[in-house]
Amino acid sequence: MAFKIAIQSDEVIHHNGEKQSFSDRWFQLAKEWGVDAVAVDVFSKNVIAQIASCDAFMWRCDPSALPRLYAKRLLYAIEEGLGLPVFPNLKSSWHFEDKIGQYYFLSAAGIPTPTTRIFWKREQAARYCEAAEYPFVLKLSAGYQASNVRLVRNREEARFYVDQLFTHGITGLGYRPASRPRRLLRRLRTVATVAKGRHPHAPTEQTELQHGYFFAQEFLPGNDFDVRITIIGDRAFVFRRLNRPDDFRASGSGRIDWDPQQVGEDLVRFAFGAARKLDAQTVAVDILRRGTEPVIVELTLSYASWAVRDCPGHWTLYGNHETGDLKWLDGSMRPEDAIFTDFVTPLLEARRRVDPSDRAAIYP
Amino acid sequence: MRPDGGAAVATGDSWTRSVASLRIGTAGQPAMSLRIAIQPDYVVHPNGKRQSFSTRWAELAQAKNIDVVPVDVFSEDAMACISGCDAFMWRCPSSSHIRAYAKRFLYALEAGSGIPVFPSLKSSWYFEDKLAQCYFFSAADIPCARTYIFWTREAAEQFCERATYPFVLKLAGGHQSANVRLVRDRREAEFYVEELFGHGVASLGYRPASRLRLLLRRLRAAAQTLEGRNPYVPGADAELHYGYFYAQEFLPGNEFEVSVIIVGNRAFGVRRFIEPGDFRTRGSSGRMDWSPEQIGEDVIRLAFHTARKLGAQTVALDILHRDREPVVMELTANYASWVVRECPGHWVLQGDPRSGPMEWTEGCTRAADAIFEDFLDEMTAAGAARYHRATKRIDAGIT
Repeated sequence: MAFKIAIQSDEVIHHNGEKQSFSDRWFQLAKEWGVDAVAVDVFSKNVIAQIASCDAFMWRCDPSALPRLYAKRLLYAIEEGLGLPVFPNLKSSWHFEDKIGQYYFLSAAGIPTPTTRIFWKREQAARYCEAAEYPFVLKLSAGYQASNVRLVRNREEARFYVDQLFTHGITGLGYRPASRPRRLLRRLRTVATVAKGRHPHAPTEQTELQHGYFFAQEFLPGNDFDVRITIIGDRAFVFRRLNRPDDFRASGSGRIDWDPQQVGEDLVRFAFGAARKLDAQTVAVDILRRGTEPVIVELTLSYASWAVRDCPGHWTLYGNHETGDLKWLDGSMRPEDAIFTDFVTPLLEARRRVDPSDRAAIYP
Repeated sequence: MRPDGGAAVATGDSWTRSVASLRIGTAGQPAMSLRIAIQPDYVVHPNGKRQSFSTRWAELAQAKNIDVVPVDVFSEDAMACISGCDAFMWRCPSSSHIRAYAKRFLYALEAGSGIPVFPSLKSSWYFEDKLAQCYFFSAADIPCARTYIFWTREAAEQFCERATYPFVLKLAGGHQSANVRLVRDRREAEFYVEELFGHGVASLGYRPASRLRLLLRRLRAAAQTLEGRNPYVPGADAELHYGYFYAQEFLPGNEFEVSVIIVGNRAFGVRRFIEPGDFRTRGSSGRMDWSPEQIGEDVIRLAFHTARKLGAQTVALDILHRDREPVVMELTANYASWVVRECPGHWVLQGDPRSGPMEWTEGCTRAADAIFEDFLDEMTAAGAARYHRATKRIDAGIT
């Protein structure tokens, strides 16, 4: 019987016009590898039956709120309930768009991060804001491409966000403190919307309501760029993301420098260490420096494929991340290909061990 | 130098035994070096019963000569405090705010530090999440009530047009029968579709009403907004539900549900009677019966099978019957301990849940004791594995 992989289709068009579809590429690769790829619709009623008839499942899920909240549940149910290999597996996806979970993980693993304070009570957050060192970086737990990240410059601004996060909650950090008339106007606008049966802070398909916590992180000056290292198995793709003009954030700036000479080997090993600790199939690690010390700011699962593809080569790690050989391999590689290779190869090898005559187990 | 003080390195079983003897000591008591971090918990149930797993765990740990490190998970040094210990236990309450924190904290700790954690991810990922549970039942082929989950308004509306009424509408979270409604007609169903795909809801408290009443509700919400509050944002005990519609077949003819609490290979059973004039039980506040002979073996085996599939340290399952077939309705991680303590005995399973021998053991057992006993085994095994890894690193010359 042919080896069958269930694939959920995905398609994104990035701001720079790059079209991305991991699933399109995986379908092509499956054909080349002699593997049956079965298109599934995760939103159909019989999705589990569709996937159950296959040997594995892959879904490059969108980071927006509703698909993500659904995907986390479905993927884990398939992995644990059906016992099928899935991409992304739980170890790769549990931290997906959850900066709070990521921080606790990094902290538990002893991996350096910027100094971070998370408060779950209003009083604690308010007290912190009185004594805090300004500016600091305020983050919402979910939110990608630097949205939901703010530099809080003074106490007034901090109090404003404490109030927002511990009262009605917010779906984004769009609003800033304003003058009294402006605040009154905002509130009246809100009242009018509520009277119509809606709410301006209601969550949407893209954004979820965030409330009941306050996530403050030290501001690290002197970082004009961050280093993004995308780990896929034993490969590391590196580039620097220069900050947006007059901004402290690099994420989503689109100003990328792919020169591998600019990223030290120590950072590559550092990123491998975090990925190995997570035991993730893939993860992108964003690194800044506190003085000379590298610190991990964020983990990303749903990175843009084009930026990885445009790397002029990648590092391959052999063995332990601290002592193993690190070799540079020239040439571009698509992340879709690396993920597919890592995911499918052991499955086919296992199958071939069981049945050496299995034609489906012949791959390039 | 080896981490545990220069014991001879053996391999395989003999090594495991040697570490166990190091840790447990010759008199069957662990050495003082074992440290367990415990987050205090304390609940007074509606019937007045007091519950504190942590207090009992601390007693048990001390009896075994294990150091107990009390932790405040909300303090800033919680992670640092736990990182010096060999394990961590927290019987976390089900209120939404704490749960949102606990899920992240527990898994981050498990994945990041590698120490045994109670509850483990496999015991807690479905906690207060009926959607995840439903997908799991379906994937694991566990008999459950027919359930439909819709992620778009259009799909939910189409379902409501053709649905068989009544059906049961559930929110993903919500314990003790809250957030579960019997939807009797299409008008009611469409009302909830509007709520769930509009501003979202914290509970299923509101019902469809006249236009005037609806207007009044809106004006009340507007007044709250004027005061600077969000009428749709829940308090600390609840969360906002939106963007999905969870409909489940109504199973008539059930006078009771069976609650089976699994701890390791033990099963405790109790029947909870449905309230007159309702289709729900009152959780652990209503009429209950602990007679084991009233609980079928098929129900206990189904519960064991589900718990094994989950790989959970402990889980409580609510089971109803569709005709004569037992079906799992819900999983609970934080059951009330007094319900377990009242059981006159429990079943012990050896081997496979479907065919393995199952024996009845007379006598009352506390859930906290059973959990701790199993967790101690986990701690010992994890300690042995850690020691093994450390010696391998030393042998490889990695410091």
